[in-house]
Amino acid sequence: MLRERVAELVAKASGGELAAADVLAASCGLPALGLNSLAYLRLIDLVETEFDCDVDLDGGYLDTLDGLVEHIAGQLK
Amino acid sequence: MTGSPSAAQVTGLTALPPRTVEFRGARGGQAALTWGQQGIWRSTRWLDDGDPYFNLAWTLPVTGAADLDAVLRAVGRLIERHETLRTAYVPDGKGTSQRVSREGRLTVGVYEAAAKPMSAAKALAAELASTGFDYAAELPIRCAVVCLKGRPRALALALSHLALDGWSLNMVAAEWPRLVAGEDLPAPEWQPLDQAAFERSDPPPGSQALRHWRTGLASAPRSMFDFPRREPEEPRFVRYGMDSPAAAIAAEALAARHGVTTSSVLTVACAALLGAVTGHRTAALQLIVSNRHHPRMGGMAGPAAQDGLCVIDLGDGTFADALGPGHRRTMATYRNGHYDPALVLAAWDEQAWRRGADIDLDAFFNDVRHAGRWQGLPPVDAGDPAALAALRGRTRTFFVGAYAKVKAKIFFATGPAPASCEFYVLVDTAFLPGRTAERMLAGLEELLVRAVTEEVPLDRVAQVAGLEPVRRPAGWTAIGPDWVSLPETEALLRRVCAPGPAALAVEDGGDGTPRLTGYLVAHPGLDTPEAVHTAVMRAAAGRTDVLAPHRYVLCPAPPATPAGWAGCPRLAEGDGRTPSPATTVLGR
Repeated sequence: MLRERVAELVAKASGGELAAADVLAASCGLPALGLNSLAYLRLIDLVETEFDCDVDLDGGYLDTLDGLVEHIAGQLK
Repeated sequence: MTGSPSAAQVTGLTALPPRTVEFRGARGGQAALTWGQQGIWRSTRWLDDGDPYFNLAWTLPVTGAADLDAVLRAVGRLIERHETLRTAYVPDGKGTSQRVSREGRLTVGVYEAAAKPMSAAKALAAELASTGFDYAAELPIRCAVVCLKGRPRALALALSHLALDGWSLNMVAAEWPRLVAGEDLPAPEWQPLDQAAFERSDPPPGSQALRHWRTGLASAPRSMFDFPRREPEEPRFVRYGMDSPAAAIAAEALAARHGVTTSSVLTVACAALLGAVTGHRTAALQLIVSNRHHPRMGGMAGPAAQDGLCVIDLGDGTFADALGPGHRRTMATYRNGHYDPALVLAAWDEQAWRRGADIDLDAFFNDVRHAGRWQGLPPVDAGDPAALAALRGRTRTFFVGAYAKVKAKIFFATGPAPASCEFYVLVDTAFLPGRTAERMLAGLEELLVRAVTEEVPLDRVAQVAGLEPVRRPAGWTAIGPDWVSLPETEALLRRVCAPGPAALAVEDGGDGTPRLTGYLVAHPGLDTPEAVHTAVMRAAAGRTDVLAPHRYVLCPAPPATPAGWAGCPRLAEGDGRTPSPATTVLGR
């Protein structure tokens, strides 16, 4: 469920260039999907607002959907 | 509020009677400058009044069957929509304010082109932009319509950078055909007046960005240009450009392989090249941050960009190793680019005082690509060396221009080309030869292309890129992230302490790092470590070769021999960093 929601946020951050289904199905990292710097920043804002958590940019988890989901899940505990 | 174009003398254009556009917006008002406006405003103050350096020459096409009246109406609607286009920058007793005029008029030139109206409009736009704006009295927009056989074909524009940045230009470009077609667009939801109010809300935004700056100021080299100056060329600042599809293909391949963005690849490449030339493993760049990721700011016309501090520890590994950490530093910089400039400048001075040197961050990178990426790159497989080598045959480097005055020692920038790596390097020839700018462009391409197929150790970047590292004469030593000329530092200390004797010693700081100790004979006016530090900092302001001693030892009399300072009786000793009103000596 969390994974699906984060994928939706990725799609929203991309300004509609990515569909949540594509994000969920992708086997590559988020930059390889075409997420640019601006979209990344939007994504972090969205994640922090939605889950009331802090996204530390020094973590490597930002590169993939699963890494991001895992990080958020850890923050929510 | 009014504005008018300067007389145009562009070949192939016949002047017709100018027209007047009257406008009346939804509101007017006066407020403090936004933080983004402050950034550009400070830059304009660095130049002489009337200098057109920050003017933007721009051309918009007029398509379809729109007549002159429709085009003029569209110009009026544009100015009514965006308050930034009817904003003056006026003195307010304490500084400068933005003042939005609710209504006014703009004189619009009208010209008939003999042929090629877009080309003629470009030349006309350059002409309009060649004169500086009177920011307090003039509209920040000048424009003229270029017709062909009586039908409008293009709008030539000159805009003040105080009014629009690159992002805003793209917004206006998207709105323009709809305005010409007479479409009724929804009013913008956020304008600089709203932004100014938000930035003064309680609690104010920007606290996280201020922490980011504090951390960066403590870890950045105090200058990337801490080596001997050279005789500058004339004019002093030179800029070269490159058009390289191969560099773009290689950057895309590296970004995909390492899970980073091409913007980060280019940022780390700039850091690596600059670090290789200047002898730094840690590089500090100021990135121009668009500050457009928030939806409200995404829809605001007006300057929003601010400088962000990006400190990249390149490490001891390879260029590829540096990409992941560099990407995260880059992202953190872009995320922390919205801050109160006054608070950052105060933190800057405070950190300079503590570190014992003015902190020079005059190395910049501006990624101006639309949405921060390329689109429509040629379909070349980066893994095919022959294909990439063939593509490199299309690379072109060129001289852009030379300038007398620029507030940067090095300025890297992309261009807006969508299908090629359009890249620029400007250098201050008082520090690096002009040819270094050109070599860095070729070196950037070589570094990126090479890194696709092999590991490039960072200590080989200069060799791979064909760059000559700066040479520091004997007497220069590395102290933390800084290179310091010990003879110059001692000479400065002696000048400050004259007529009393003084000496500089490099001692063990206790944690294995060398520390500088300044010994001197105390005398009236220089009788505490704080007083000495104040005097040293004042004398060292703006210099990139000296570092104030970490510790001062004040003695009643000089030793019998120059080697005897450490054994002298001591009147006082300390780092001299105790906060005092004198901490503003840098006067930034």
